Amino acid sequence: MATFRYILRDTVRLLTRHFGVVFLTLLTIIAVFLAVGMSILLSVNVTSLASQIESDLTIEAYLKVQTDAEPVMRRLAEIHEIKNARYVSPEEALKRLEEKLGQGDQIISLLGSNPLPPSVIITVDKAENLKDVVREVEAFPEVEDVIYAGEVAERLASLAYFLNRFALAVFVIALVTSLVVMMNTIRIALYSRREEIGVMLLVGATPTYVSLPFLLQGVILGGTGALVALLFLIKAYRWLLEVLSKALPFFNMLDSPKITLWLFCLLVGGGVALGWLCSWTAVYQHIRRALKPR
Amino acid sequence: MAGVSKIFDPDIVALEDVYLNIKKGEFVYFVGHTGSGKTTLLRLINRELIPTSGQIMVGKYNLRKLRMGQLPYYRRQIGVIFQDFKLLPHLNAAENVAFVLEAIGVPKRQVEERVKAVLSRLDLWRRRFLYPEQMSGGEQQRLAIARAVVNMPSLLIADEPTGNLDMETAESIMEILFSINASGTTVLMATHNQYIVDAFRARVVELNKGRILSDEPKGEVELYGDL
Repeated sequence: MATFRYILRDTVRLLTRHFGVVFLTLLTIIAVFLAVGMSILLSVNVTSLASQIESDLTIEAYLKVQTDAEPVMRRLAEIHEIKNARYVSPEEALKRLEEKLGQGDQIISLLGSNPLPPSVIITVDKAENLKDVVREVEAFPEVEDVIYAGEVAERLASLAYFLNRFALAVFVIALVTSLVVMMNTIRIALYSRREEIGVMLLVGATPTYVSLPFLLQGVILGGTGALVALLFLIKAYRWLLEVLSKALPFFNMLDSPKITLWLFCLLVGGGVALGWLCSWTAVYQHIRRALKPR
Repeated sequence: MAGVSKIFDPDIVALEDVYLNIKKGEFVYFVGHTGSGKTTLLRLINRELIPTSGQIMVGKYNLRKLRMGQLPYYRRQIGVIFQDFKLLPHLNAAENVAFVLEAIGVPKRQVEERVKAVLSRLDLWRRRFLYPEQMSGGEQQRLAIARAVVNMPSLLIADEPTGNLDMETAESIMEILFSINASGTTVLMATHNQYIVDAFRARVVELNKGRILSDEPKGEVELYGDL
């Protein structure tokens, strides 16, 4: 118990003795974990959006203007993979747009007439049949264009792939930066106490007793930096959710306590582990050298 | 100590084929010129160095086979008075002594009691809040002794403890070392001070170029006489 108290006291001394260096290290760690957290959030949101769209089994077939929808609907009914097909007139399409944007009248007054073509919304039974149905519908002479979620999903998937790589790169750069900064801080602390450490080891202090304050310093710096970054991120993410829910209501960002918990584990756990690793590497080398007889 | 040699790179022979048997409770001077091997011998006993060849046994510990995990526990039985004191400048006198006990996990109350006892014994209690740089050479030396003995070691190693002191202060330091020895602590002291060796009689081991030149049980030796 006494040993534990001395270790805690020494940890506090380490954190306050070079306050300027410690503070700058903390700021760097916060910046690093903010960058990591932001790139992770961006990446998971795009990945989730891509998978949401991918799971959408609807196809929108735009018909040529003045086309009779009747024969098209009949032929669609003959395709077994189609679960449901619904005709959308230009008027209905405009109404839907108005519901989304609230600006239908303005569009008509701007363009003079309704620019939207008639279309058919088709629901396919299984995701694997999506492309076959698209190919068949595209071959209809009455069909002008076919838009389906898979195409958007594919583009988003490639964006998500790029973002994942980007997040990984940010993570690696951040990791190296924080490793260097944190190790230097611990080394400065070690250097300023090298005499004391030497005497401590000569009078019978165990390597654990000598190294624990440095390890705790690393853990506190890493953990606190990551925690502060996490609080900033949560606050900023909440604000962004609120803004986007008003500006882009159809864009669903991930919003659940699980995300916060997951980020907490990843960032704070990462910060603590990183702090421990840096301190341990620096202190272990130093103590091993000091204890090794020549 | 049996057949101990220590050779530093590249071929600097610090000790050569040294055989030495020291009984518990003895007071032994190691004398000789600078470079004769006195400090190397003491550092070997404190396991700061390992011999190139030969065996060193201190109590139950075979220093050649001592593992890193055992080293702190071995060193807790040894008090060391360093030639350059090695006092920590940012700690006051009481803290300089206390930190040794804290480093080995002695509870706070016991630390306070033992620090008070040892500083009182060495006449430093009133000076306990002073930092090393505010103390005289003699006080710093007494503080170094206080730190070395506060853990009640069974072996005390002193490397030139009177080296930079005037004669009067040196005598008072020797009286302290002999009183510590009288309480059962084995004392090994390196010195080149002829007056001290004559005035405070004890076993004298004379070293020259890393070899034992003489080993006199009651200090009847004229230092450097044969050199």
